[in-house]
Amino acid sequence: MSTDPPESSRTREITRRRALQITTGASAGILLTKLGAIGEAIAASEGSGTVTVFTSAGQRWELPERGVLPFFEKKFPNIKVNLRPIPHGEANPKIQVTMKAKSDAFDVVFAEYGQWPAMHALGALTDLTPYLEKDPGWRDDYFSDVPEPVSSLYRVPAEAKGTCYGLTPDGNAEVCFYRADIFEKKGMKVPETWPEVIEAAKELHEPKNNQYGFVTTMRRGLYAGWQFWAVHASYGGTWFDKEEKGGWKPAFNNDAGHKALEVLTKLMQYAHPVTVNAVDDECNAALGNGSAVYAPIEWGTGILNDKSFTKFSDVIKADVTPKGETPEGVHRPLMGGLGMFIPSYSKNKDAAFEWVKWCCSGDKTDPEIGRSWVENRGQPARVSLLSKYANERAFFAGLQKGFPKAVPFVSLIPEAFVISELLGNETTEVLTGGKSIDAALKAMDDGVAKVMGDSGYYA
Amino acid sequence: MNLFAVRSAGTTDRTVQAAARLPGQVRAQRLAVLLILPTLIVLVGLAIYPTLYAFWMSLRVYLLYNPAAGRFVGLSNFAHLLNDEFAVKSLWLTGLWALLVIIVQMCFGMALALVMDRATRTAGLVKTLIIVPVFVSPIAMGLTWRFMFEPVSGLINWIVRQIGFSGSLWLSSPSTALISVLIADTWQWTPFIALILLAGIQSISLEVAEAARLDRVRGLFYIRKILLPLIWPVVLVVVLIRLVDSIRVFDLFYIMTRGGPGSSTLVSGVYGFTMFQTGRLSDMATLGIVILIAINLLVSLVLHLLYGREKKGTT
Amino acid sequence: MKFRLWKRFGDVLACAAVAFWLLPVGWIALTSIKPTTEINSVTPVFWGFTPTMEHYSELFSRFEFSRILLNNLLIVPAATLIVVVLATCSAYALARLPLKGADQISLFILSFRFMPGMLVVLPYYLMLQEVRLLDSHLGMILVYVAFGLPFAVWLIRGFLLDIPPELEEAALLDGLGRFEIMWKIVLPLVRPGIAVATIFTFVFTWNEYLFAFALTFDHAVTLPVQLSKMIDAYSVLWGPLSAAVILQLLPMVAVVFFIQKHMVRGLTLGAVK
Repeated sequence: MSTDPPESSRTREITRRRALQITTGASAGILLTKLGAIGEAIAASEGSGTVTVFTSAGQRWELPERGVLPFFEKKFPNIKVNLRPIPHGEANPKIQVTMKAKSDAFDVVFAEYGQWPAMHALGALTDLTPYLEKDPGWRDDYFSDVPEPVSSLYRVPAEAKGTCYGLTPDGNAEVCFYRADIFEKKGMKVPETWPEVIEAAKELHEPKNNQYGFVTTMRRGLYAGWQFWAVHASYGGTWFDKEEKGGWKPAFNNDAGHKALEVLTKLMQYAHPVTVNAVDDECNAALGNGSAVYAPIEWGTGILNDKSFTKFSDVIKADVTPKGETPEGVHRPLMGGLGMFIPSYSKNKDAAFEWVKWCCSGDKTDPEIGRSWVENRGQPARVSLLSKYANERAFFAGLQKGFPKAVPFVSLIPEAFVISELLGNETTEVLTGGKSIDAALKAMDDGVAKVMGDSGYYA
Repeated sequence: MNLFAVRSAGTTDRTVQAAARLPGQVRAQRLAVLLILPTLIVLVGLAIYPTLYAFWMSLRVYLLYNPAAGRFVGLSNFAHLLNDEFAVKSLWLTGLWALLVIIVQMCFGMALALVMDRATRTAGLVKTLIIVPVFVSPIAMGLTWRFMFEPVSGLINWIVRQIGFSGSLWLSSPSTALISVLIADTWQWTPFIALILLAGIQSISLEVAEAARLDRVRGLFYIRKILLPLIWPVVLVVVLIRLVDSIRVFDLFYIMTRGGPGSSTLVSGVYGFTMFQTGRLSDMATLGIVILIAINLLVSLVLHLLYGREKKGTT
Repeated sequence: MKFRLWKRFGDVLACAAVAFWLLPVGWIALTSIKPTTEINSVTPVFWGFTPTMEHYSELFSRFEFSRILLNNLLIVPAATLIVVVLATCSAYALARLPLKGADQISLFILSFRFMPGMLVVLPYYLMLQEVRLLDSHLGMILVYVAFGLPFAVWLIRGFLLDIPPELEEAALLDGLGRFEIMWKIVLPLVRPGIAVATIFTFVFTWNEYLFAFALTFDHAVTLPVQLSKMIDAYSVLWGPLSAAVILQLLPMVAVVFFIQKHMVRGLTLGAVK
């Protein structure tokens, strides 16, 4: 059995021991870091042509990309494309955090155009003009085929003269879905203005037969915010008085805003129960199982015409969204859509651009691109493709109609999503919480003013 | 067992004194340090640093979409949070949720434990099957419940209508949404609680059970006066675990309602995540710090309760 | 006589309770073999459809179930093992060895269990980004170790405190070294506690969503995040989702069936003397 060593050498022992432990711990830590770096280096050195793509999972984005990938690989055997799908609902914050951290993990990011201003503010976007100039024929074909309101969304500033920071193979707009068979049976025609919509919803509302006259996506936050904005826009409303220095005053607490909330409140009487907290999948499920028969404002989707999804795929039709009955009322469907940008931190921009160009090509580059994009549940932004496949995808016609009239679903500022969230929260408070319309509109204006003020727009 | 046993209390200084008397105390101390150092390194790196970082974030304005607006604001974020009606509502909802969870799940858990106690021959099978809900991913379960709760085409309302009642709106109405999520959470966690309580019940010495039976002490009286006091430490531990987890709840609410309809299920975890999604990171950190303080206060309260009971001497 | 009847009745009652409780799981199993158009039907469909295995095959093809399952199998057992080993060591040090301030350290360690996830999500992201461990197995293991340690330490320490110190005193006087005591005498006694800690850590890590979602993109994605991908932008893919749940459950149930004996003994927590 050991005896205790004398005092002084004991303390030395302890110190030595502790020092050893600390060094071991530190080396372990450093080793771990190195391991990570080595792993990273190995991945990167697999040929200078590795392109990692951040894309939203599923239809419209990931699946069409997987569809065109084989043809790309044949044409560019030296470039390896890694698709990294993220659930669409989680993409936005992830993109923001990744770009804020100046990560070079991605060479292409497939993001909502609402992100462009924030990305630009972070300095994360790459100017694509030099790349486009290398192939003027392709560039001209792209810009003539994709409607200007759509392609401008990926410019900063968002107009035809702005610098091009992104290209898009994807377009979407809100449409009005309705059951053609039921409308025919009741001898109804598709309503044009909101009062007509309310009448139609009332007519269609037969809860005893599991049939509800109205459905849309009213989940608190962004979703409700966009639907409020959709109706507000159709009454001629805007987000701000003017979008330039000296302006930026919120414009929700006015007649258009008031009418919007009134219309939504009235429609909730005839609404399918899920509406009050629905997102797209619940809304589409309701339309798909036949219990909802009319969705005057709803994001376009091919799934309702998909035989493997719903028994009613043949009778669900799409038309343009309603307008306000006032003189300022216009058909102004909200426009969605995702586009591709190349992060400025990417280490492989040339190869990345080839992939972007490939996905955004139409039939001119290779007929396979257009066909497989559409076949794999894509929604092209190119009018040529929309027309060509209008028979196979019934709602492409609705999209084509909508694009020229469409309005962006957010103002193109970095604060876009915070504001949409705010609008949505106030809207749902009116629809479920019993808040008065006036109080909600005032809260909207005040809230938006605060956000803009905090960001320095009123300086 | 007292999970919160303090070495100098329950087991008394005996251990420390005994160890001090023993040979090789220095070696023992060195061993102790060696054994505990890895844990402390991990925790310092991966727990203290992030907490400090979050603290620092809560003292600034930190907006993901507008990096230029970042500036030091001291405690005004906390003041701002108190003015945010949704933040205040979320804190209140979280507290309500925790209370409901504990009351409902402890009662159901106890009932289920008592039933399972009765199953002698199929004990193994019952215990294995009943733990299944705990293993199903909350994400999948949340979605399935959302599907089943759908007012028009869902399974639950179908069953309810078959029985003869008219269906409820469940997740689609502000008044019933929280209860619906509670049902889903109870389904998932009650078996877990029941198993722990069952273990406690089954470890009551057979003599006590026999004595009670002979004295014809039965039913509710038996439960209240004899069973509960004996398994009280177990009960408190379970309450504590569920309390902490229910305040930190996120998965289920996120998948089932995301805080809606309106703001009727907007627990703090979900609201904090919304802040993350819209880039208001400093607000999210502030809310997180508030929750952390609240949890620590509540746990201290429960611990005080536990020690109080212990000191009164229940054994 | 009455006692025996109540006992048999008790078995029946318990099995009925369990069957009722597992109805949702049965519904999931049914859904996993229904064609999508039947899933999307206004009234629930129980029979009269042609069962299909397309969801299971889609699960493996489009959702790369095998790869994700492998991720889980790489990350979770590793994290659990590290947690249990470190926790046992630390718990022993805290419960048995003369360590100054042991109680304070214990409470300090425990308090990390109370941290809300949202508080640390962003710092973790930035930290992992710095060391390039984002979306990596190693990174996830580290995070899960950090989050699993407090509870495991706390749990095992509790069990250790129950063991009378006299046992160790006797062994020490017999001339056994500290480490030997820990390994040969104490640990076997605390095995139920270790079993409980293992199961808890395993389950919580397997189903953990917040960190898995925030700190991975595609490479180290675990099952819960992959399940959330079945919430397509336009529809929830109930078929593959249900199939995934069922496939996950079967091995878990098997594992539990074998460990549950130890577990219940461990869950006793020795509370009742």
